[in-house]
Amino acid sequence: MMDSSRIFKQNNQMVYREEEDGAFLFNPETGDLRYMNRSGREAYAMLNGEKDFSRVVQNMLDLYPDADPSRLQNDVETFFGDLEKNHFILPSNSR
Amino acid sequence: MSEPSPPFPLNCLYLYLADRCNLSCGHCWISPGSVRDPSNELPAEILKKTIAEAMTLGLQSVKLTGGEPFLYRETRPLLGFLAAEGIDVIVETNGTLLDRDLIATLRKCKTAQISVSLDAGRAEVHDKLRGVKGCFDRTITGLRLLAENGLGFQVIMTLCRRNLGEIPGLISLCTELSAVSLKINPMQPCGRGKDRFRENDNLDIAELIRLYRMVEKEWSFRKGLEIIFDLPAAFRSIEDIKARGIVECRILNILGILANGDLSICGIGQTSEELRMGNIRRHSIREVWENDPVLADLRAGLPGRLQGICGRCLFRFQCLGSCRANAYAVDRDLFASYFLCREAHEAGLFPLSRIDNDERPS
Repeated sequence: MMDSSRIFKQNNQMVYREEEDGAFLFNPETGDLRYMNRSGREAYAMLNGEKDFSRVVQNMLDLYPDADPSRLQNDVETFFGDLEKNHFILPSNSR
Repeated sequence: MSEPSPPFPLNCLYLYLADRCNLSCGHCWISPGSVRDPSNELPAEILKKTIAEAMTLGLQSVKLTGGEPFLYRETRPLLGFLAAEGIDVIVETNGTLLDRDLIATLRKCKTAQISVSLDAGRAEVHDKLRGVKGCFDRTITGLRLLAENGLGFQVIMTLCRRNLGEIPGLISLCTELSAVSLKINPMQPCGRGKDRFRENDNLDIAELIRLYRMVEKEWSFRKGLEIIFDLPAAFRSIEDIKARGIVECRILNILGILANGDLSICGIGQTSEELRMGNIRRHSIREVWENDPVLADLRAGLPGRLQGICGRCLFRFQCLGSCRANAYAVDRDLFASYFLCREAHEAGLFPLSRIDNDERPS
């Protein structure tokens, strides 16, 4: 389970592109791609190096009040976990 | 301790079992002959030996294609061998030769996919496109036999202007026949398809993009039938890519074996002899897979040497330029841009969000 105080920021070495039905990230070094639907795009946009994980989850619940809170938290955790593992996002204290 | 996996496993062999066909499709990208002369065909024993050797290179599946693969005289012993070895079997057929006996043999195999060509929901349109009167009825009979015997199948439609209006009828027919999926492939400018392009029977990229969006919006899943509109990843929606992934050119992990035993990067060797690389009657498949210069060039050059818009596409690492055989057939260059992507770029229709501008934000 993700530490709720963890803070992430976007990795500015990655190419980020928004489209009508979502967005995607491209790693120019490896060619790796990650696709996001609209809600993924919203969660990713919150990673400004200031909001911690619990705050992002709360903000997402504010945007999607009908969502099941524990499922949404799991989804965000899985999403951020994958992005971090593949260097698309970084812990806020890293350079 | 197990041996490390080879860097480029040979995942799949495409077996072009027969270089002839019992139909005469005006759009066929390979242009097989129609003469029933099987004298040059490979004995199944040679194929079995090669398949066994390919298993040491990572082989997991075998695609039976052609021409019409079920014209091959030793189909049944070959299928028996594949079943015994537990190799996934993929079949591409026109479905006209499917009978109870053949289907019983197929049922013993690990059939990963059976794809059957059907270009229209009406006999007169399909027969005309496929060049043989009555072939629609024979294909439908084959499809019903597959369904009755619990073998799932995909219908493949080659899309051109002449059958553009057939999509709704074909969807209904596929649903009635219990097809798993309908794959709509735009016609290719290779083989006999070149003539059809000259006759402007192909749809241009603007039409294809519009049609893709219509299919995705209105028909993509209808009563359990999955509908796949085969366009390069650059034109597909994120939702579609998330659902189905990107189907890349598999050229780095396949080899084609032509009906006479010649090896090639895939079926392109049937029409481009310079892309043949030995013959399994005389050469070890390992020797070819590990040493052939064309394969080495592809491995070193993809995706870095892709040209034109394909070299600038953000999806190039996954897509590998859609189909390298097609690029060669059109431009005589394995690294040329894919014709539809090039056409889109020249027409200002290539999605800007998917072009690599080499921006590296600081």
